[in-house]
Amino acid sequence: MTLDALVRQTPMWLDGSGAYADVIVSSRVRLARNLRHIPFSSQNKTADEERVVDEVLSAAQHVRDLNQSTYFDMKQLEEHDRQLLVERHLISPALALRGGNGGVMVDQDERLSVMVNEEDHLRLQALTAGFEPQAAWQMLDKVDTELCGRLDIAYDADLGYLTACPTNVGTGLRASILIHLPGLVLVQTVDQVLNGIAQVGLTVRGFYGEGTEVVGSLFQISNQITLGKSEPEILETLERVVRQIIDFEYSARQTLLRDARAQIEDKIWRSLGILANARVLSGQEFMNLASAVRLGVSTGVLKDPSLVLLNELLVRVQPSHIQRMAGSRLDSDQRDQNRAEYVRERFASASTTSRQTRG
Amino acid sequence: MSKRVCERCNTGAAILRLISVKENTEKVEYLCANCARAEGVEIVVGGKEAAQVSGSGETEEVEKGSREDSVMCPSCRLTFARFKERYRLGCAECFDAFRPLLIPLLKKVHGAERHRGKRFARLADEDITSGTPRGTWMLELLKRRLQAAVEREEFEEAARLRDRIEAISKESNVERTAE
Repeated sequence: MTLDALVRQTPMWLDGSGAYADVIVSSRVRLARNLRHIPFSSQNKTADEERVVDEVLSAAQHVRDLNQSTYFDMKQLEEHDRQLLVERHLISPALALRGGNGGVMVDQDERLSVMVNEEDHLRLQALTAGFEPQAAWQMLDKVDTELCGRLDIAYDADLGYLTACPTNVGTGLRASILIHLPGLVLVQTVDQVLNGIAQVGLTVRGFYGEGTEVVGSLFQISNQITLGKSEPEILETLERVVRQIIDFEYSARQTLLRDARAQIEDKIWRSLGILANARVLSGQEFMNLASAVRLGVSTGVLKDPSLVLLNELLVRVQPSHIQRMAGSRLDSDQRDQNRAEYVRERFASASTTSRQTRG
Repeated sequence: MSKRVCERCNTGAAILRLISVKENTEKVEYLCANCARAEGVEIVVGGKEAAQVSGSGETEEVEKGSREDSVMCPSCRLTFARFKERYRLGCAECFDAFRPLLIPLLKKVHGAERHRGKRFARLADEDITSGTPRGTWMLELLKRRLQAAVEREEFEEAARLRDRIEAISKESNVERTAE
């Protein structure tokens, strides 16, 4: 699979399916693993990094879920294309910056990816649409058994999987739920709701993970604790808390539509109007407007567009995607124009299709 | 070179300088090993620097901290001081080298000190190479590396890579015919 093919496809984890798709965009689970006999990335040298790549790729050739995947070598990619993989949530911003001998294996539908030579030698990731952390874990558990079972993994009987950062030691597992909370943001109780979750060992992150900003009312909720609990226990805590947050969000949406229906509908329809007609659209503006439209779709205020289209746009209108589709270097003004044009076209063709179906 | 005599007993050879801080005044004494021990000083053989100790609890803490800081992983040579700066371990062996220092930290972060999750299990040797190797990226990667090695005129490395490429191509050819 080439980058151009990748840009054109909508990843499976954005197909708008799965449980609670009206609130939860996707579920992600990742595992951190290291090879026992090679220094971790902070202490290693080029030769060490190359050995990691060799060992991991050699082992992966025998793993059914991975041996049809594509390996993207960071060294061979331009900065914009590395960024494109970040925009698709296939690699971390850290790996994109780090470059070196890092790389990532990506399977055909972008459900599985394995980063090589990030902070840890291996970062295995599974992504699914909707609220399905257990499904993502089952998929990843199997790949971990088959891939890491072929490697000499740094594991300690007492401490579990050994990782570069003490915050990942034990299971090496981080599960994150990408959740859309426009209701809680609008009724201004989102901070109150999310502040409590640190007490149960969970944390809130931005759209691209650790240290990134919250945009378009999209939050990532993930576990902080990796040691002393089993993987299913970690996932159960996360699921229990996220379910509560979903209930809070539903009731906030109900309150809004009951007490301020006209204002909320106006906000939703205006946002749709701008997205469908704008000639210049910044990334930030898109995220905010798309958030209102998503609220409209998930509350039944709007019939179109579909969640799939909104999800697709979520990745496709980001800077490196816009650039790649244009096939040339663009400055940010030009990108804003291209973004507006692309969104307009997608909205126009989506509404034609639905009018025909209804017609 | 005349040797300094212990300022307490006036007989033993002074081997260290003891700085004690009491009520903001500093007292400097040169002591022999016995008198130093009597003061509660721990003498570590092989220590290069003159020990600086005192009766006040505060400076003892500092001493303990710097002893921790100088602990070094024998494998990757990361010191605990460097670990504290960057908060990243250097290799699997760091966990053995720093274990007593890491446990309290892990307890603080996770509220636990024992793994209760999935256990690592290595596949049986015969299973490791089971299944048809299908990935083409390994070959691509090796070919690119070969090209780079030739450009850098690293011929030994190039020969090694060429052997691996041949081995892998042969292996996948055999599998293909077998199918």
